[in-house]
Amino acid sequence: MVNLKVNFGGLSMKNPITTASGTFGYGEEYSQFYDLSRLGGMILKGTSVEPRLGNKGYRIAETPAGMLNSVGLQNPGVHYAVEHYLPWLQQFDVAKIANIVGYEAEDYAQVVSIFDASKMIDAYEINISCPNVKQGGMAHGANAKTAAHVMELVRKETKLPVIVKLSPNVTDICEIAKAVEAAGADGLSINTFLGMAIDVKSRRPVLGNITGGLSGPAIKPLSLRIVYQLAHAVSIPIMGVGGITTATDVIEYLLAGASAVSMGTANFINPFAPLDVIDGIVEWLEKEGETDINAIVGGLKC
Amino acid sequence: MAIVEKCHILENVPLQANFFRMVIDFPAEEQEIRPGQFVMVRTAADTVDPFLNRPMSITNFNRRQGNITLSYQVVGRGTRLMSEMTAGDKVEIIGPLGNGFTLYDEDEKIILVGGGAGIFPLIGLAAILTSRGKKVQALIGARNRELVLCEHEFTKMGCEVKISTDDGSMGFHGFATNLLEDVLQKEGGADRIYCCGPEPLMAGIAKIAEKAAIPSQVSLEHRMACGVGACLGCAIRIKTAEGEIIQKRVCHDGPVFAGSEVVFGG
Repeated sequence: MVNLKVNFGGLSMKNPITTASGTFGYGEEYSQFYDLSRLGGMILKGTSVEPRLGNKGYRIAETPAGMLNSVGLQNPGVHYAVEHYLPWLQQFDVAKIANIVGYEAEDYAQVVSIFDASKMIDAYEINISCPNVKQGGMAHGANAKTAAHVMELVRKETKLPVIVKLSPNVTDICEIAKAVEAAGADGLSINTFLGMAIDVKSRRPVLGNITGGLSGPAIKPLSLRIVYQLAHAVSIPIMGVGGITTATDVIEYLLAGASAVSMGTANFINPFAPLDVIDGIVEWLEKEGETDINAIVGGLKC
Repeated sequence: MAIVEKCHILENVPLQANFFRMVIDFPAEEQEIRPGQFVMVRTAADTVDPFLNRPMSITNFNRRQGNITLSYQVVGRGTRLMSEMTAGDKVEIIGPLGNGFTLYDEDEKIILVGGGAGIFPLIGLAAILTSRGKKVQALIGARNRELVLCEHEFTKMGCEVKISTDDGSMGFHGFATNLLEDVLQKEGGADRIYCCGPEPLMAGIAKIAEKAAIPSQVSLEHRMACGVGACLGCAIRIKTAEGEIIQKRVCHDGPVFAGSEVVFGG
């Protein structure tokens, strides 16, 4: 029997597998396939103060071993989420991590305080890195000062663990990571890579928003490198995310220094992907004679 | 209730031009399938090419034999790879997904309008309508006579078939919208119109139906990643009865919508 239980910056999870924000809604859609309690955690759809319609035009583009999305943070707003989704979610024994988005730094604090008052959330992921909105989003995550400012405001609103979702589309992600760590972040995660696709027949961008966030196996080497760099720059835990489809992918992220992982795009390909990966991790650990998943974290031999 | 299933291809044959038909051993007897629903198809097991599953409308299903039929046009790499598969090969299916067409007992005379590959989901619908003794007219629109699809399938089911071609090489010379106007003018109204095809066709049919005070349903197509409502990739704008503009997901809330509620081009 191997131990899969992890403590991610104060957030206790039965296993290190979470589902990534924006790929799993508020859990309802995938609950038709399996019991959500089997997951370690669920990172819910990015939620803002007011409802948002998101971007017009095509929001999805297939790319080699991946996809671009430019959904643009469509969500029903925090009040609707608290009233309609969270009470239903309580039946599942899974860490519920709210993903927070905003235009202004103050918006993040407001959404967190509303979620906090509901007492139905276990942790937060602060999205200062959405590549698909003109205002807010990635702008906050683009430099250390503005990123730390958002974190400081959020820190005042909650005692729960706060994960900051960093943008990889910056010159030095480690500098921003250190700044949010100093501002009170309990953990880090990483957003998609800004990308683009063009339809040569029409000579137009495929996406209505022109650019979008690249996800899927195509970005795994990039994200893996970032996790490795972050692990050496900060002492708070890192959520490995980017192109995970197999148990081997997870082990790679853990060896690079991640303490838990998120699976996103893989859900689209196979709704059971997170469960297959959990089974695969147990199998790998047993084969390797390991008894505790935590022993793997940062175990890369260089 | 949707399931995720590895299924055997029973048959994968060309129809005409670049259209194909695939029959799959899906446990249709256990699933409640309705005409207008769709499945996500994965041809590439254990590889990432093509990366995303493809949404495909269900042409027809056979509960007794436990299979579903998909019809498709080869438009890109994904559908080309699909067309190269043979009987015995495996595909991964997620489905049945979405809400199909809504049928009404009180309807007597029904018009189906299909343009291009949009004719396919209307086959399963026609099968149920004709089995219930409804009078069904099938209007098939195509660019030219080589691309007129499924004429005999509708005839065999007892539908009255009318054809329009853009170039006049077969049947009515003009678009299916023009043909519908012609039919309504000469033969009077209908109790309901169901339409599937290119967006301009569906927009036109919805408008004609509304003008003639005939309720219509349209089956939309969209690029999808998840197919189950989670990724919000296929959002469209809908006008509610109160005139408010809201967003719905083609995969989860559709793909069939009332023609009057869709904001086309929105």
